[in-house]
Amino acid sequence: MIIDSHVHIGNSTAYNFSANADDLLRLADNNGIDKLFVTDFTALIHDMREGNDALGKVIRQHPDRILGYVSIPTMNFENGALEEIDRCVHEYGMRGIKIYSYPMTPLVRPSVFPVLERAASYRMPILAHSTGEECEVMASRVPEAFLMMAHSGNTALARGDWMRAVQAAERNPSLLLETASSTVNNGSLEYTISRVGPERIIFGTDMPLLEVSVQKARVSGAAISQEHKDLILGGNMARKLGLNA
Amino acid sequence: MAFWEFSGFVGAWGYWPLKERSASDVTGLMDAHGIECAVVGSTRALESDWRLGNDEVLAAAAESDGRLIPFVTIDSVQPGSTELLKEYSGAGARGIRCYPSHHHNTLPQHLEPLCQAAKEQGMVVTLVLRAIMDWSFPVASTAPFEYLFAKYPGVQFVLHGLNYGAESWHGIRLLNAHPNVWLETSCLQGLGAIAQLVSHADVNRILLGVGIPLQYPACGIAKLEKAEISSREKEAIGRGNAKRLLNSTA
Repeated sequence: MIIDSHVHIGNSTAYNFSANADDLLRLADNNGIDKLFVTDFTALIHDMREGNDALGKVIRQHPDRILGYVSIPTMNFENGALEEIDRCVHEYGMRGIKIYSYPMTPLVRPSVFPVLERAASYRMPILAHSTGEECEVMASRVPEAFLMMAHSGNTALARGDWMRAVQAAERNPSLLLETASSTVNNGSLEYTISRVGPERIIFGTDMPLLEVSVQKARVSGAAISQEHKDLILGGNMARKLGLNA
Repeated sequence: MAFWEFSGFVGAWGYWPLKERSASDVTGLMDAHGIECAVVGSTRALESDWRLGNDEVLAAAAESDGRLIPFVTIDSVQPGSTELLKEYSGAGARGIRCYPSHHHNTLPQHLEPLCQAAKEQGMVVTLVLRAIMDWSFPVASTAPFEYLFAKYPGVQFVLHGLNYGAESWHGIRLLNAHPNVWLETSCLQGLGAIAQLVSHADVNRILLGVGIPLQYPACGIAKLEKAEISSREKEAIGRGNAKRLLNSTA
């Protein structure tokens, strides 16, 4: 089973995309992806509740294909985040949380820790658009949280420092690394496996921003064993979520 | 399809552990991914010493049975750079890689003598705006260099390293404005980026870029193979255009 753990739905004028569930499922089918773990763009940058509700309806329409993240931007950490997590879990069965630095502010602030703790209480993954330094703080403060570093440092925010992300994961056994990125440095996945093992790497594409075939080829074309590819592409997330791989 | 890739490198690499550095390493990786020929520059020329780097890339090409096509780098501020370019051309170099992204001396007026010499030698000029798609790498703007495209219509310019959003739209604008401008795909990572290029610009001036061996070859190849364009267009981007460009300037 291939699970894409980094997917966006909705509209973004900033990134010039518009994708509904049919668009995403067509991309998934074209690339052999079975399940999509999705965050709503409106929830991330405009209206948390409106966006999470929109995603909730999509989950109800496609329960076998689409899993949902409750999206929580930084501006909402102090403003209704915990209630929103509870609501989306109970109302829509969302399975994870996406925390996002919007406006462009640090994720690490006192109010992020209750969010991590609430996620841990539900045993839910947290996809954090963040840096190696921030993930170190979060993972060390709330080690019981199932924290995934979105893009593994391959962002402008994290200065492209994916080796720093690997260091953060080495030092914090609960931290996982998610693969989606424009950066496709040859040998980076092999290096990451050599330092933290294949069980702590999670496949994501960032569709519909990034080319899905490129993101999948980054794993399938790497010089690693098929067993490790299977773990990264879906086995690790399926195990974490209790899905039948 | 046996691919021709336009954005390769040879040499040591200091940013992260990388196994492939020699000519045989790179051609071995090409074999594994169906790449017949690769235009290559020197990593040393990018980072530390362009003269030694050029020696290395010419030597690598010489031992590759024609599969590595060498592009050289010249510090355009140095006196005698145009004469040096003639020497490199005689030694087999087929083009120049200019790195305004990395080399702070690379001003457009400094490139004018090289453009003239490139025209005389039938060499391609590549403007590297981003060496590879790595967020820690510097990025240059094409804007200061645009006047060169019109001033030297007999020179074929390749834009290297554009990514998504405004960058790719800027590349499309330049392709449409200048018939001597080409674009390679190694850093175009947006969804459907190649199809977008093909629908808005001349497919006959789009070149497959992989970034071998610094970037995963499978990624650059998948981007083309999965693009929603015709087989003829894939053939042009994947091989035909590069062969035509290099033959036309030979």
